[in-house]
Amino acid sequence: MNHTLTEQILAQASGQSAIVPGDIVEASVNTAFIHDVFISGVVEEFSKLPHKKVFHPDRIVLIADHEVPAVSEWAGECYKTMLRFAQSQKINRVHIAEGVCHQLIPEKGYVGPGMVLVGTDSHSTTHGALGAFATGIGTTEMAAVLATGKIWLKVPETINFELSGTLSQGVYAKDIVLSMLNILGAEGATYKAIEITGSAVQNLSISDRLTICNMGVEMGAKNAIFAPDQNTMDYIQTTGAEGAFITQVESPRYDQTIKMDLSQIKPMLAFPSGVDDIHTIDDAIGTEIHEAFIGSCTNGRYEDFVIACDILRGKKIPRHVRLIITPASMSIYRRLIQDGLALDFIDAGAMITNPGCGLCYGKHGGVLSKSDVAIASNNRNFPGRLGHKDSQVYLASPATVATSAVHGKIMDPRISF
Amino acid sequence: MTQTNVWKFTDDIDTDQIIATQYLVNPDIHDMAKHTLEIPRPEFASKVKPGDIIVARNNFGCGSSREQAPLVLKTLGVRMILSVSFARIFYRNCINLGIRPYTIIQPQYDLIEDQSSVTCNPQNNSIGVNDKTIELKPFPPFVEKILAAGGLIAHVIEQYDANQEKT
Repeated sequence: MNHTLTEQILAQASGQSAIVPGDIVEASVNTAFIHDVFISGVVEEFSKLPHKKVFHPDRIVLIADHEVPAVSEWAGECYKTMLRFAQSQKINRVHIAEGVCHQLIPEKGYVGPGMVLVGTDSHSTTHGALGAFATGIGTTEMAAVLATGKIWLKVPETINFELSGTLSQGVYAKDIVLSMLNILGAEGATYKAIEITGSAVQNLSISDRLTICNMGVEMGAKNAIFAPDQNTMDYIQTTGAEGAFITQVESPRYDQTIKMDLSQIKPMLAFPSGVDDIHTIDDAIGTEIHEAFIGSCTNGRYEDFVIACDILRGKKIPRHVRLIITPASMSIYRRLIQDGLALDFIDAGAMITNPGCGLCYGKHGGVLSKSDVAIASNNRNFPGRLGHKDSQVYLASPATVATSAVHGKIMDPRISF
Repeated sequence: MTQTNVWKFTDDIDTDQIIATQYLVNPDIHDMAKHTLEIPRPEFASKVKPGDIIVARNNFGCGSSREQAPLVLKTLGVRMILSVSFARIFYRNCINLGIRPYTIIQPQYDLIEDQSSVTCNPQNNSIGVNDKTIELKPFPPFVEKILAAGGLIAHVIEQYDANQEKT
């Protein structure tokens, strides 16, 4: 059987031995999660169903991360709806203001290799980093999943990125995924799976893989996935996640294979206002910035802050720059404090915010004004994504953001080494 | 077989154009639906009749995942959308709400004129345009079951009831 990883998981989850792209399967769901913005909609749809009870309380995760701390009177109602639903359905996996869903789910061990995970957030593709099939769904679909534990899916064709070579100093996973976007564009993988393979994968940490899979959806992909390996097993041992180990078969049926030599990649940016308006750093050097943001489910992990802190330690950012540090979870926040990074950030002139999605979806915690230019480590820069519709956002790696913050203008992170 | 009116669009009609963000907070879907497709076709919401169809070209329904976009169309009585291509989440949302999203090819798109009268025949997956019949690609059986039930929620309820009868 020449199944790709995505096909292997969907075949297993739907109890079939052989499937091909285009087949419709009904897959069993291992983890379903809902965040605060959509909890009311899901609960309302679920109440129309006769089931009354969710399919399995321990496979459901409820996370308040978008509207924390409360941005409006509405937010508090969302938490209450979440808590009431959790209590009535005996759901224990509930996290209010503990971190961004796409960080908490791997951290808490709610995702492991071979699983099918669905969430009411488009960046649910993130969890393919651990060898799971993971995708975002709407509120009606989620209500049906809560009731039945199943979801209908069209088996996607798979685009394979085969990575070789080693990244140069100052170049990171974010630069890899921006390079992928440069090749495929914002619609290049619509309906499709992205599978990342090749000799370079073993050198990519779980944090790196989460960054890459996170932005799979920016290429239109249904899911993005890495084969589980020793890195994955070491990671899930610390989180206690379950999972069925899956391995790549010889010559899987790929729709397309794209080879990338990581040693050729430079620091990359997505220019305002398109995730696929990709340029090398050379095209942007010297652009004045007013805000620099390091955080989000794309690049708000401990590893990202270590890189940024090495650049910022002992420096002072110019007065006209607001540097915002948003750890993706409370446990990351704790480590930043415990290991002294938080002090270094503050001394450099940064503001540290609570974990959450606030700025990345343009709601709170650093929203941009009309004439602002920002460089940010998150995943989207559509018009108005981080505030005013005329503000401009450059997407880049934490190293590029930190270096630019120090200089008050976009700079090549390789000068920091 | 009924005669219905065609509302024709071009490329990249995104979910913001279908229903703008400012109306999403409206608690009444019928009120919200009065602003459907307001930007590209201001007269749409007041003139569209139940059963009318939408014909579009590339990437219909792109942009945010808001389920209100297909929902306002459904509220106004649109049950069929023919497009050369659809955005993924919008396509799934249509099926889950019981709207038939038929993928067509460019020559079929060219054949159908805006504000023309066509004959819809969803049972046979075809529409009649003047004297010609356009054959539409049928949905896989599983998807057809959801559409026939009127959407995913209705389908899940039907299945639940069927299981209750068995036991």
